[in-house]
Amino acid sequence: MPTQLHSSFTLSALDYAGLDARDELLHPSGQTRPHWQRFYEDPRGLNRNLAASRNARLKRGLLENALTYAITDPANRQSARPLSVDPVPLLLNEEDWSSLKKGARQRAKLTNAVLGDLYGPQTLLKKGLLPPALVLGNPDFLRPMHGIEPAGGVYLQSFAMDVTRGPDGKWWVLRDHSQATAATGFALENRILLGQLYPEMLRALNVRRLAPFFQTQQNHLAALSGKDEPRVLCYTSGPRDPRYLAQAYMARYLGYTMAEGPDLTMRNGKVYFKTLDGLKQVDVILRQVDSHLCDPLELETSSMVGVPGLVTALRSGGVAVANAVGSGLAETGALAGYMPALSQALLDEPLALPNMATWWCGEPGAAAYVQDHFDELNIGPAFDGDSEIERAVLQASPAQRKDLLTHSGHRIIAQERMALPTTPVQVRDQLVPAPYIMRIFVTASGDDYQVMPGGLVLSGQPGRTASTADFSPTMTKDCWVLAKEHEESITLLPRDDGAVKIRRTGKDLASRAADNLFWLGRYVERTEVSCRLMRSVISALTQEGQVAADPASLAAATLPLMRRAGLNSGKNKKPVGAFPDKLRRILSDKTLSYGLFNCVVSIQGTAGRVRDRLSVSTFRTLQKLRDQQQALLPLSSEDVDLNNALPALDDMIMTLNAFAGQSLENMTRNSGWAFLDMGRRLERGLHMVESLQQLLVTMGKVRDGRLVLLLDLADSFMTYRARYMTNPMVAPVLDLLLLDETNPRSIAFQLSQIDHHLQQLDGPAAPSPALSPERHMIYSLVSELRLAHVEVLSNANEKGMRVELSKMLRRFETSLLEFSPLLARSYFSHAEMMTGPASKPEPALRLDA
Amino acid sequence: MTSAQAVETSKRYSVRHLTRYRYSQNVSLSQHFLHLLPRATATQRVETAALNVEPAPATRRDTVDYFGNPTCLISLDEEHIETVLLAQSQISLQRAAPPDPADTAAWEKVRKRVHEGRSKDLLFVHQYCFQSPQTKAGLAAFTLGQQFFEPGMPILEGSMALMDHIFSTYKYDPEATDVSTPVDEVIRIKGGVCQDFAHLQLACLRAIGLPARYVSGYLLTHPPEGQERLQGADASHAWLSIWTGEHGWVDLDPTNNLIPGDEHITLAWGRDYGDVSPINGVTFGGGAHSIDVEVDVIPL
Repeated sequence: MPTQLHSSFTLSALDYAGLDARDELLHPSGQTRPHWQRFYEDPRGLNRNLAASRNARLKRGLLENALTYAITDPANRQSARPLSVDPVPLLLNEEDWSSLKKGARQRAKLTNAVLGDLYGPQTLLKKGLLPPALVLGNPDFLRPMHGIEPAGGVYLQSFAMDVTRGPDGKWWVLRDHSQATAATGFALENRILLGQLYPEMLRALNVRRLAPFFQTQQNHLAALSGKDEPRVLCYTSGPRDPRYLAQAYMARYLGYTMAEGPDLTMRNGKVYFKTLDGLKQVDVILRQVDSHLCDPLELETSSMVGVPGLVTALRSGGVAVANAVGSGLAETGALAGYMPALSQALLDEPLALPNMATWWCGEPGAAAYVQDHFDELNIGPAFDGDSEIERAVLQASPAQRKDLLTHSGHRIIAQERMALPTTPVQVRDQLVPAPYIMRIFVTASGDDYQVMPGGLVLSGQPGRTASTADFSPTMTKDCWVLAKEHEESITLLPRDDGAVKIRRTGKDLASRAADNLFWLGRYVERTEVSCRLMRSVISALTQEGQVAADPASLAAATLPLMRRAGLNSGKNKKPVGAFPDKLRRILSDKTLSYGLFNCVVSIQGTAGRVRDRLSVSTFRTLQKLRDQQQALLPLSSEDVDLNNALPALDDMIMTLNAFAGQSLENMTRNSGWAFLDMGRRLERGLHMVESLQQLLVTMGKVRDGRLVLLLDLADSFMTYRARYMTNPMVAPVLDLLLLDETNPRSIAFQLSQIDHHLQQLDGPAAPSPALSPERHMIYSLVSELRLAHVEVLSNANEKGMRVELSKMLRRFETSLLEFSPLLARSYFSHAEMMTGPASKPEPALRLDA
Repeated sequence: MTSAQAVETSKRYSVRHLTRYRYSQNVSLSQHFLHLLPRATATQRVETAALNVEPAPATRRDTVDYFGNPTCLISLDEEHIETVLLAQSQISLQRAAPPDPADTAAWEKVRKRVHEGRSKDLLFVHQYCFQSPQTKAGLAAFTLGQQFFEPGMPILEGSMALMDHIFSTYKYDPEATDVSTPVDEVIRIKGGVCQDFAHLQLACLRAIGLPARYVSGYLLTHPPEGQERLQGADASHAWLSIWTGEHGWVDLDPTNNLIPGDEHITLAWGRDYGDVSPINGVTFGGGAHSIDVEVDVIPL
């Protein structure tokens, strides 16, 4: 029994005893297979002493990436990476690899040819090489796509297949992926992570590199457009798609902007990306959205992730989409049995890689076999997503099953069960065999195909055996193809040959992204304002502190928030006794749309939608907010002292300040930054207008406490003290909070910043001499402040009303509330969401006879 | 013998189909995919046909879809608050006497012929043997279909018996269903409108492997005795067609329990309503909207 084959690592004797499936590491004789030897013995390879640190580093690396690419919101858990990575790669030698590579390349070619025939002349059906039901009864045969020639004549730009191995090492195909293959993103991520674990081994073992594969893919996609600098986008259905993380990883590596359906529009037979600078024509779309959802006009009408008119654009040749819309047709397992004959007919060569034995019950003979051997086979739907038939078959009595196989046989396939091979995974400091399957990726290259040397290994429960019937992956692994000779390294990083155009601006900013950044700015500021307000009020209520305002002032200061939160119906006539309860609700009530809980939810949501515009640390900072807000939830109970809210509020304010600092320091001053900052400035300006209205307008003889509260809310108490060594007085406070353009909390400061951003967005040479409506508005407000006299504004009449101040603030409030819609009309109108399908007239007629 | 052989009469009609969308706020963009212009058939000649859209679309593409129906894609790129689609056509219909139901081929023979056929025409018929998105149904449709097709049953006779069953068992009830009610639900509530009855019968026929297609169109209505025709009071209609082998396609109207003659005007056909829906549209902006439809079928 081999327990300590090599000094570097322990094999788990128990698990390796009595394996009857093929194992990748151990030969049946108990010897390590030769191509594993070096990796196994080299101290830079599978060194036992480094097992724990490898795990820790992988975990950290994965977390970084998940935070970089996914929204780790609990409500969106599916967008986190589903499977972690094992630090032990699967090693394949050149003989292993060459048959796989040959088979994958041939299979991609063949699948492309099949698609070309079925979406074209359909000779395969006419000659009887494929049964009609397999195509005509397949929901993935998209009739509107029939007869539309794809760009370059290629239907399949990327392809993947899942394979397994028999005890003799022979490869078998389990299933094909012809829709989209974003999982290349995970293969890439695994390689990058393992490259960090074994930086020298990759080179020492001549591990074939993945970069050339992606370079081929890039070149191929670019060539589809026939342009020198084509605009290539990665079209996804958004963060709710479980594949989003892989898509984001792949898109970033390939250098493609991610676009969702609402970011794209069809005009006059072409597809455009909606950016802040207007509509930009899209040349190539790397499609990650399932075909039938791509166009709500001609395909599935209920799709909310589609691009209306995309099929029309394809028909006009106005855009290239890869893979061709409709390519999912070739994913059906029903094709398996026909592949050998198809290969002969279409490629004139024998099929290189066999399929697992598969019975498609659309053939009466196969249906009869399946009926007799039902319990020995893997039964499933023939067509992707047909869960109804799967359920029906599994629930049917034997008699009903026979009916089902008769009238819906074409929707059912059965596959033989086969024991899966095993490969070692690291469990603590031992190697334990785990069952696995592997996904192989192929990209088109001109009219040929290239196979990624490696792939994504999916491994199951370590120490268990599994068959194709009960396999469920728990982990992914990298796959190293060991070349006999060393190859030159290629990277996708641009080479320094001077050909790159220097750019100071980012790539196109989608209107939707600008819209989201604007709202992110607003939500962040709104949250901060509410936190400050709560902190000041609670301190004043419960403690002897700097702010010793009277209850009426506190109520007045919180009135606008309470109103918005629906906690106050107009006049505040309730006794102050109810006041603390309202504060508790703002702090902890999950149902209040203006409560702190939902403020944080809004921040997380909008931040997630512009995830690719924020740095990792900025995004993480925002993640902290949620935990900090959780600490406020116990405040809903009256048994918890209100004071207990203060530490959490402090934390939240600190976090929000950190976010402000990070975005100030880290974001380039492009239009994205402008929208984030304008959102923040607008919200802060509005809040200051409200505070002045509440606390300064109606009171003639302002009590000190009220002015101190105002300064505290504006975080300007220290500034005031530094300038005026006196207790607060109306005119200087008003100057500081309203007119002073150097105080980052004043209304004047907010407006002049917005004005500056608008000026930048207009560009140096505005096309029209007239100011845009939003700029005109802000400019006139800024001018009004510059011309204002603080003494006039401070004057109260005999009833204690500051009439001039009141008039001015009301004007400002009205204007600022109109700013958002004005901005939207100028910049986000393309971002307008589809309001849905138009009502359909229902045919309804019956003769009254 | 073909279905168009026994020509008795020919009738002419003018068809006017007006659809008006009104929005509560401006729409910045609306795009529609239309099946509003009639196709020619073995018995139907389209003398004139025109589609007029207000406001004028920035893009308009007229094509023919996979099933041979005329379609039109329009894109209205300028702000608008109303869209009016007016389709007008003149049609002449020849009345073809339907085959004697008892004289049609046994249903199993028809099925075998279609399932084994490999010619372009038979492949095209074959596609109508399968479930489509709106004719999906469970075992109930299969059971129902089987009842009317004993071994050797002539296909048209069985189909008409099934049609009669639907007509007499299912209640015409415009409130019971909407455009997306699934067949299983129609079977459960035993009610619906023409579209539901067509989908139901299609589901039953297809469950036993027979080729049948959905037909969308119009029906001439007769005002009550002594009253004037009301303008715009007609409506779209839907029925189905079964392929009977040597007698070709024969239309069946389960809503009225009859074989359509020279008062059913065909607009388009496909696997189900989804393939030929008169208007598939999306709008951006616009707030709430209302839709008005006026249809007039006037004998000439």
